[in-house]
Amino acid sequence: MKRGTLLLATWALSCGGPEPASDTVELVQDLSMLALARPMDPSEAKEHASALDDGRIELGAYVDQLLDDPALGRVARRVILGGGEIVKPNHPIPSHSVLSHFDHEGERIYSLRGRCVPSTAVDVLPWWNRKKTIKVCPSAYRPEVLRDDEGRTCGASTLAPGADSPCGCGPRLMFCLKDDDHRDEMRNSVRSEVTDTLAYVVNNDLPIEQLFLMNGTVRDRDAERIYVRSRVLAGESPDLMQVDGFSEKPRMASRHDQVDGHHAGILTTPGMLYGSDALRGVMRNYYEFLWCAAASSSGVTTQTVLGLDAVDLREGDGWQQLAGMAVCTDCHARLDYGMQFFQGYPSSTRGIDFRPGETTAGTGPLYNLHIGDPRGEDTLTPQGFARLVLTQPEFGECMARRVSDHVLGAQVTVEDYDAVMLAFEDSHSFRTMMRTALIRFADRAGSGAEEALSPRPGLLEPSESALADGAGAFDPTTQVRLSLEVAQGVDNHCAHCHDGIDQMDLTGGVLDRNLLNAMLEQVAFEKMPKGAGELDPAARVAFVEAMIDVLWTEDQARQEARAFFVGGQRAHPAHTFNTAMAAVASEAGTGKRLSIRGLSSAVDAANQYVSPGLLTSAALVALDACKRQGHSGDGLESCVAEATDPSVLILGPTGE
Amino acid sequence: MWNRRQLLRLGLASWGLSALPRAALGAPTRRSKGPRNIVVLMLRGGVDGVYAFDPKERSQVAAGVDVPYSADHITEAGNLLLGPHYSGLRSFASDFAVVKGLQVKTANHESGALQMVRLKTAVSNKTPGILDIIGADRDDRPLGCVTLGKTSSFEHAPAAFGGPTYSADNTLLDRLDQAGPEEFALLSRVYAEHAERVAGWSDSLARDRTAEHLRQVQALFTRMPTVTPFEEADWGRSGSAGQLSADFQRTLWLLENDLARGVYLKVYFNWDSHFDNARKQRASSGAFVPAFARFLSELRRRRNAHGSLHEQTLVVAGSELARFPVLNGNDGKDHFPETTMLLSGAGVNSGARGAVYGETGEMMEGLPVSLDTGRPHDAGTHLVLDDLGTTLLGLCGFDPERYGYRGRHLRFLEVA
Repeated sequence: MKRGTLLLATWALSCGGPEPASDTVELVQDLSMLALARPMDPSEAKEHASALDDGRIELGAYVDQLLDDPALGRVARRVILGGGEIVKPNHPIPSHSVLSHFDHEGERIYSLRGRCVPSTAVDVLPWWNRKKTIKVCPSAYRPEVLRDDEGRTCGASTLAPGADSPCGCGPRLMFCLKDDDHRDEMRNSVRSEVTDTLAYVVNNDLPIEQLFLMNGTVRDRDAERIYVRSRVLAGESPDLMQVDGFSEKPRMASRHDQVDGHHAGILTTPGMLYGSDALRGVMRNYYEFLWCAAASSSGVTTQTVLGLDAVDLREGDGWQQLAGMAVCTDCHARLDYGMQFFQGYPSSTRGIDFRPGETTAGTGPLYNLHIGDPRGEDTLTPQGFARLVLTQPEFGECMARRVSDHVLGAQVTVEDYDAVMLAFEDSHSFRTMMRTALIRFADRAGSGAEEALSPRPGLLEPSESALADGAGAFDPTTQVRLSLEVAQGVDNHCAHCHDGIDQMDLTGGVLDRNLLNAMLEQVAFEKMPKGAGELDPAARVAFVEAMIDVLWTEDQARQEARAFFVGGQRAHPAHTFNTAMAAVASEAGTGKRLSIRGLSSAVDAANQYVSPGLLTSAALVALDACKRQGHSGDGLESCVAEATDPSVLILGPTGE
Repeated sequence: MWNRRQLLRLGLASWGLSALPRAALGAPTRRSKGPRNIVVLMLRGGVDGVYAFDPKERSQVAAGVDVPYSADHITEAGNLLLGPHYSGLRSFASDFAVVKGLQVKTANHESGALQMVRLKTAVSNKTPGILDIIGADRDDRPLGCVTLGKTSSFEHAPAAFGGPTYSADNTLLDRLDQAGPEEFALLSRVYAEHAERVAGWSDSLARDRTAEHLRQVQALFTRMPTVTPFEEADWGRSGSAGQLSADFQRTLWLLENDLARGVYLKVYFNWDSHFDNARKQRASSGAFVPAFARFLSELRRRRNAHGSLHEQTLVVAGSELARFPVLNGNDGKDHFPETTMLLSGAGVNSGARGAVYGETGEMMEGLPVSLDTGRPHDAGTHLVLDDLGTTLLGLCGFDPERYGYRGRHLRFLEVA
């Protein structure tokens, strides 16, 4: 039983009201944290639990009410885009050029490269103030310089102000920021454009594809200025930088297309486009968001890279060789052909702008797994890219996987995943997918499904079901005898893709030890079969345990291998960091919480476990929150104990 | 009747808890072996070996391979040759074992980062880190492993403790510094109770691990009042180098106070030099080397109850990938799927004058080596990152195969 439940039960008794089942209160809190990333007020949770218990509201209707909350839009950001930062401090968004200043005879003078002779300072109307001019040193102004001899535009990370950069702040000071606070405000605007647009799509229950397809975004005037600067660099008037008539507050607004098909939802926002300093990295992020195609580059050798016979694999013409070459093609066919749809966006080392003249005309292909896996052809624009990517099955599968992982974590089954996938196919709605997953989570909470992962009886007994009759010469140092369970596991879960590979021949019931070791690792850590959508957690555990049994015969070895491969050295799944800390503070009776930055806060939902870092953070947050509430002595200790109860952090059944 | 909390105040229940057999607490039953502490330095981005531990004379490389200095910029330090950016480490070179031409089998930072946490190729983000494994045998230290530096979710592992990510403010360790002895005592009592209660939950591997993590944190809170408070000294560096100095000092503080068995420290400079390789490598290594030298020097100077930190600590340093040997059109160097690793300290066979294992050829490519000697050998084999992970686990008394490590145990790297 969770600690909050105990408090509620006490409250209910003292008030004489009906007491909801503790499991229902626990469920209501879990649903709130999963859907809205925040715990519910205890009295409110009790009310909802009572209503569910006595049938005044059906679970489905209750979940619908929960999903009406605009906080769902914020949760969607984490589910779809993960927990990483949208604009990292080392990226030049909107620029690395922050002005400094000095005062002379009561007048403020701005500079980029140290002080100038005050009398040489010139009056400039900056882009951030349409009414008042400021004084700027000439070396900080340089309105005639928009780019260097190599075609890099000012604002590029490599043209940050320094002795060897020809750039100043440019016309209307459009490459510069007034001070550090101003830079932070701009970064927030760029970041918010992504998250607010995402929330807009989710909270208005638009098809999720719109997030990556529509022309408009939700943005404020500062975010609009990044687009306008690009137009100025393409030849329009610097006066555009004033963005007259654009709302100071964020609102949904269309974007100016510099070429046909220029914009594609958040894929063409500065916040997303500069998530990496080059297009290949941007594409890697995009495929991860859109197709769940995580970076899995491995197996490439020195000989392969040298064999390319190209010296510019990143930006030059080496990409086509890379995309078609064995091993490399597994990532680069997807990445490098995808990049062609975004030509016109240079790397941030060359500029933060869009260059219509550098786009590629015509149509181009898109690939997925390798050069032999084409996925159609469309115009070489971001719109063309989005149209192709969003109509591939991988998009829906990815969205279903993200929602399933977020809500059901390590417990997600093939059936769960299929149900969420069906919700996607029927509705294309993030909200409907969440509804399906939350209801399945609620059903699961009542059925004690965690028993599926309990230890299998007789695990440590030596395997007696070897199939090696007539296996011929058997070398125990390099080979293993298969059990029926392993043979069936390989047959059921591997053979449909790996059929025909000689090493996988099970005839004779013997397998290469190294191969089985590799298979064990791949299956245990979900590289094969990929993710929960292809293999139930319980079936995966059974397959892994069967492999461990044939690889090792000693109890100690099996125990160690089991803790590693089955348990993954992982504790219970936990709520994401911020949700967990909010829950801790809430248990302590306050909405405010101590800010703590740490590795745990960067981890996505599917990899958040009860780690020492999470537990230590919870302790410090609870201590601070309980003291804020005025607790001391024994009261403080009780408060901290309630707030840090592990069940507050754990997502799903605790086994208590 | 006394309740459990009152008993805990007297230390009785926690005595009972600590008196439980290690096996019952989920800890490995093996005898502790190998280096007492392990520090992994991840030099993110890709150090260009030709400026560092694999300098070349122009006559040794193929046409087009970038060697932008003359032979007199190479420093001879015992058996090692140091490139122009690393000559500041010459006084420590006798303790170094350098492994050249180690294949990492990726040319991608993210895959490389996943691999560096695990010292192993072809991993997934579900695979535990190597310091998770080694840190599970934490002996009497509170924490198994601590992560420092500008880390990302790629550096996350199940027993994670630390950070920060990109911000240096309000870190977990900063916050920990601010608590007082009475608060630690309170937290220790509370977490001892949590650990004991969780240990009684229904049997599962997750239960064992949650209880173990609670015990780690409880032990940390118990230890903190006896620990010298962390105070950052001025190492004369600012900016990113200043942050690295702080992280190195934090590492020393953790080791000196015996708070963690492993530390993973990510050094995030500008080594990813696709543009202007010479300038970026010089600036990044120019910031790194003095701070690293000071760290190595402090390891030698500082001691704890187990002796000199240098004698009990193995330092492993390297990048997740290296630089392509030929300059691209931007005077930069792209990615290369090999790296050079530096090992120093406890358990490492550096000989009397430093040792070099592995060799690279005229295109900076790793050459086959003998697995008996680590020296170049035509009939030998290429070294792979998995070999290093396997060796480290073996050195620490673990059977690598039980943890999915299928590399070769490189005996030549170990002190006999």
